Amino acid sequence: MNNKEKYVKAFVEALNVGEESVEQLKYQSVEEWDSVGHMSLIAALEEAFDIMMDTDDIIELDSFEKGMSILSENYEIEF
Amino acid sequence: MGNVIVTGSNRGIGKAVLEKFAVNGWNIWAHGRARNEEFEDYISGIASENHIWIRPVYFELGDDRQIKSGMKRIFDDKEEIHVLVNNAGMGYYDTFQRTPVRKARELFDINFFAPYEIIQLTLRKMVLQKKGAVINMSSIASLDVNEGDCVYGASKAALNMLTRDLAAEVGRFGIRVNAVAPGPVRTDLLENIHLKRIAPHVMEEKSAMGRMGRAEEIANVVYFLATEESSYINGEVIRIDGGRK
Repeated sequence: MNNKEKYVKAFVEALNVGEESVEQLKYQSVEEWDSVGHMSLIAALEEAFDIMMDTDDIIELDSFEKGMSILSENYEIEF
Repeated sequence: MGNVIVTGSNRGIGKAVLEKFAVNGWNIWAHGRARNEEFEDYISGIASENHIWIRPVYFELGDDRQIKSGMKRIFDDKEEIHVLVNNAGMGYYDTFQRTPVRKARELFDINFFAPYEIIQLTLRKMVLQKKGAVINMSSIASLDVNEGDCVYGASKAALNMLTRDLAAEVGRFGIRVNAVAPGPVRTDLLENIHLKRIAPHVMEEKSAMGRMGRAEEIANVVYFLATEESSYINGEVIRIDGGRK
């Protein structure tokens, strides 16, 4: 599984959403990605990529796209 | 039984907590401030007696980076974390007017912000597990009024509110957050901080049972809050002081 696939899988499993819809996701754009879902998502991303995210990054991660740029810029994860 | 992190586990109440979990078959990450061979020999002995593992983890609570790297070492073990006992703390006893702001900040760093950070990191694992228990070591100084406990009591009162509000946030993940608030317990911390200024009988007279607590009496309640025996207790700060009078 490559990093993009791992990233998508984390969204699908943490937020319980379909794979086809994840790329458009924004924080609070769907019921599943509320503050509670956000905690699950961060936990899933940390587990998937074996990282420990800073709180500032956790707050800034407010969309599928933004998450990829945070992971690549701050955690050296290549997509 | 499960896996537990115990901070400040090398002496006093923390050591009693460690022993309580060990004899009940729990694996333990045993935190201390700095490497200590005597402690490592000790935990290696109890681990072998109880057929469990106990892994020492060292970091300074006043240093964010050390906390993060210490917690990362725990996470690198790739084990589930079922329980976190935030026991480590810093005692202090003096009047408000004799306490500089820098001392108050130091107390809050150790007694509030360090457990805050450790909980924040640990919760990310517990959220995935959909299960966990956090037990914070508070103090009756956070609930009662005593001259000289102004700053220490405030730092523990902050921890109480964190405990209660956080329980409301994470209960939906199957995670419980509680605190215990011991009265005077004969430990190094008490000897070094309070007994230099207050005679033991003064403390004993405040307890309905007329004595100080024992570390294992605190550990018993911590253990209870960690297990399924307390599965519907959440967001509580439980006094353990032998009753007031």
